[in-house]
Amino acid sequence: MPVSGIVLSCLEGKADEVAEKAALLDGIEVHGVLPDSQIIAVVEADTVNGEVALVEQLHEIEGVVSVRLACHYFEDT
Amino acid sequence: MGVTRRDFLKASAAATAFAAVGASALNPLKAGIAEAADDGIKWDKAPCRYCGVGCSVLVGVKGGKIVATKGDPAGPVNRGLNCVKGYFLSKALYGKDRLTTPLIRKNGKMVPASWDEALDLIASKFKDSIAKNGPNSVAMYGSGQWTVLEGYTAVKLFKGGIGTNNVDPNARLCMASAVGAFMNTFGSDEPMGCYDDLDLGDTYILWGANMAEAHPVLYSRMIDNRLKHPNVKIIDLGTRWTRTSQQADEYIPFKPHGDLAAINAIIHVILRDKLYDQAFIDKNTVFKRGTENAPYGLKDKESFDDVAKPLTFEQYKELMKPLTPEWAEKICGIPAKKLVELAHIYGDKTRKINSLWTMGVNQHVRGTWVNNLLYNLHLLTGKIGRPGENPLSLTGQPSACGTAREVGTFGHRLPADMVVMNPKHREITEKIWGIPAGRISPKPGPHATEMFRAVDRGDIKCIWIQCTNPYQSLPNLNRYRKAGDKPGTYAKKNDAFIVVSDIYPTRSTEMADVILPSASWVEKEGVFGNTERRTQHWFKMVEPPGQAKNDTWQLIELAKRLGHGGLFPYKHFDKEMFEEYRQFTIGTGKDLAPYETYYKVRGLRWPVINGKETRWRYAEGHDPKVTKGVGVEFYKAPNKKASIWFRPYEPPAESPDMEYPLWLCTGRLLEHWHTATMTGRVPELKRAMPEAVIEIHPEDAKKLGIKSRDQVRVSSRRGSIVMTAELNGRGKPEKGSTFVAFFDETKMINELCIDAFCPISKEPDFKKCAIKIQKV
Amino acid sequence: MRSIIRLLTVLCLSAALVLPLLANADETPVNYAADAAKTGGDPPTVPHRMKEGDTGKSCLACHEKGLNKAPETSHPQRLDCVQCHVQGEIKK
Repeated sequence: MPVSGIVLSCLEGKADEVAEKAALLDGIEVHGVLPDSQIIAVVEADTVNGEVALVEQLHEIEGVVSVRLACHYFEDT
Repeated sequence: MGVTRRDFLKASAAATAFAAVGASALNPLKAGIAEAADDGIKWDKAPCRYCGVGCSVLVGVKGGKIVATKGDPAGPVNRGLNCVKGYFLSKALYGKDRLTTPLIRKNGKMVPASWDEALDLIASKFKDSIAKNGPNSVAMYGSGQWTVLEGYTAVKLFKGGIGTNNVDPNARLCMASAVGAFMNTFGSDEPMGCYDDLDLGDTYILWGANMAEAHPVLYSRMIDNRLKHPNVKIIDLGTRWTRTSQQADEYIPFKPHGDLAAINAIIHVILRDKLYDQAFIDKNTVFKRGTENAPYGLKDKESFDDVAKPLTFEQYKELMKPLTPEWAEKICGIPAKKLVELAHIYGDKTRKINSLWTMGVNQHVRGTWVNNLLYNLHLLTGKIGRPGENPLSLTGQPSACGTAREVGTFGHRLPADMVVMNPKHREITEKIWGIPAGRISPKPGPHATEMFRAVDRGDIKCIWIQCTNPYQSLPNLNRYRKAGDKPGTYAKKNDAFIVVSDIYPTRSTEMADVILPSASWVEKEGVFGNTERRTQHWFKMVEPPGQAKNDTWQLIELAKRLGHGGLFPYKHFDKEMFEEYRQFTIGTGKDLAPYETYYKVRGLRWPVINGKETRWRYAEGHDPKVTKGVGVEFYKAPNKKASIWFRPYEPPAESPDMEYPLWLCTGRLLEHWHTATMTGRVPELKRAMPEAVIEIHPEDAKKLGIKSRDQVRVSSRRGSIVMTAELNGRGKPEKGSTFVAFFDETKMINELCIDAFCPISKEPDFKKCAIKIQKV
Repeated sequence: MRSIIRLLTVLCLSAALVLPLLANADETPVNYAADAAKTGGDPPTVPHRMKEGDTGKSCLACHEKGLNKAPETSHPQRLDCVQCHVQGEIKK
């Protein structure tokens, strides 16, 4: 089961709005909104494909400029 | 608390993401959860095993094995960053062919043996030789990768027990010229500055140092500084365009050996245009002239004395007059105008200048001289001993400073800048060691090259090599090696008894009569000292494989068998021995902290006085040994005055000619470290850089009809090997020059290198010899 | 497919982060596990051919924003990419 730490960059002033929407997605945990319109979140899914789909959805949220991967853990089990 | 593995992973993922944007402090979970999570990995800190930068790494251990290494975010040297070697560090210990049992040569074959059998054999050979031929018939060849206490054990056993100074480290091939100049300029070894200068300065002048590959983490620190401060300038002077040149603001090529002329011309302009700091010079320096027309070490047993004659500033200026930029241009190829410009950069009072160098300057037949000249630049302009502007000699091995230099594992040295030739120094040492007066011999032991020449001549009958690979790394290797009976096999040239302690089979273990399996890095407790005087400690974290044992244990077992076991009476070995060693440093301005202090800190820079480290030596407000109100004080130098040496131009030992028309320079690259006995066993590194190639300038190649990836025969007067040619590769040598990295054990380029060395430091010149290339 | 996805199947890309030095490392209690959690593991090797002479800028041309299906870097401020990311197996 994959777990990733990600950094979302948002348009200025949009970060809180994006964070709210992102938190609604199943498998996304928002861990913090930074003063410079960046969001720290954790993506968790059953499969890599599921994770891929989640990241796709994040990209779709209005106000998201980029989604960067900070780290990825993949459990063999 | 019920934290699951999954919660832990998620917390870790978030923490990493926070860290990625430099906002760890804003992480609401902070680090607490990681502690609570039990993922079975136990973390501890250690300095990296490889180079002299001394990055702190976090080592994760699970099930008795290292499972991960990470750049340590709390490490002040690297701040969470590693280079690629450091990230894959754990794999260096887990190669398939780790040595796990002692081996003894029997009828030409290496046969497994017990420790007792191996050690008894070594002891009987040593005893026999000492009885028949005296203590100077046995020798120890050590390493800047020895831990502090491994080096200390060797020195104490050989100098204080056996009674011979036949101990020298591979650091002789690496840092000896730096030591020579620190001693004859400042009266004490090691830099006044530290890595903080990489953050605080604004001008960095690199003399033949490919930092982007050989000291990547420090280079990144400089690049970071430039990113934050656009006025920061990096100027790369070299004989080859490298990854360092690529990222520098300016690349200034010069001809091999041209540094000697170029720096003299820069000094000439500093004097001519009065860019010097008269008050600083008057207060802090004296002028000297040494012995000129110096030899090149090409004859066995050659001796040389650098006799200092005092000069006045006026006499010095007079001597420097002929060394004009126009004169230098002809030798070094740097336009006179550019040399004048560099002089004005060095003399610019608004700029904080740092000079950085390493093997390009040190591995030089006039290496001590070039080091002296670089200090002259800083002493004349007063840009030294101040935060943000210093000369910094970079080291290549993790404890070249901590062990080879501070403990004094050279043939002539004792701990804390002392030397065997000085009766007072011997007395101090004999007292701390509790040995009879007169036990330490006043005769310096042979330097590395002379030591192996003595083995070759048959003067040294028994030699023990620990933690290094001389039969790949010495210059002019064919003097010491010969082809074996079967193709692809090798043999030593006479019946000298050779013991090699290592963790893998190497080009040196194939010469050995006894091979001893060693513990490495975190398989034992240890202390390393890095370039910036930082002493770093680590605990043993895993057991060494099989019967492998640490090098101190091996040495002490020999000591016991030779009747010198009493030299090592410690119950708590590491702590007690370190405290004994520390006595040498107290009050000298090289003061170390009590052993336990190092357990928790990510190292401390000596002198550590009243529990505080020292960032800038000789600088008031930083170094408590400096007299109040004087600013900078070179208190270790005679009369507290540093020496400005007149060092003229003298030619290299060998230059290209009709028969051998090209220069050969050797060195390192990013992926492999030294002879690659460790990095060669890491799949990621081996794949990224599988073999050594010869870099040739396209115009030189065209003349020879050579295309990139052609096989070529490369020959010097001393040897010949076939390898792949590379044009426009990672490094681009200037026209007339070639470059080969020395890591590849299947293409031992050092067979071609000349064994000429600096007459003061005895450090060989691996950067310059004449070769020819033929297409095969 | 968005570029970031590719990477998810490969490896952890948290290696060469710039981490602010703790203000006073000596005085904070030692917690190596916590420090380890703050930083990433092995840097992924490069699965495509690298041109000699490539600079951080040329890597970022794709890896900054994830053009041409390249994974986006988490640390665009680190410009000496090849210090950590070395040539890996080339996947067609």
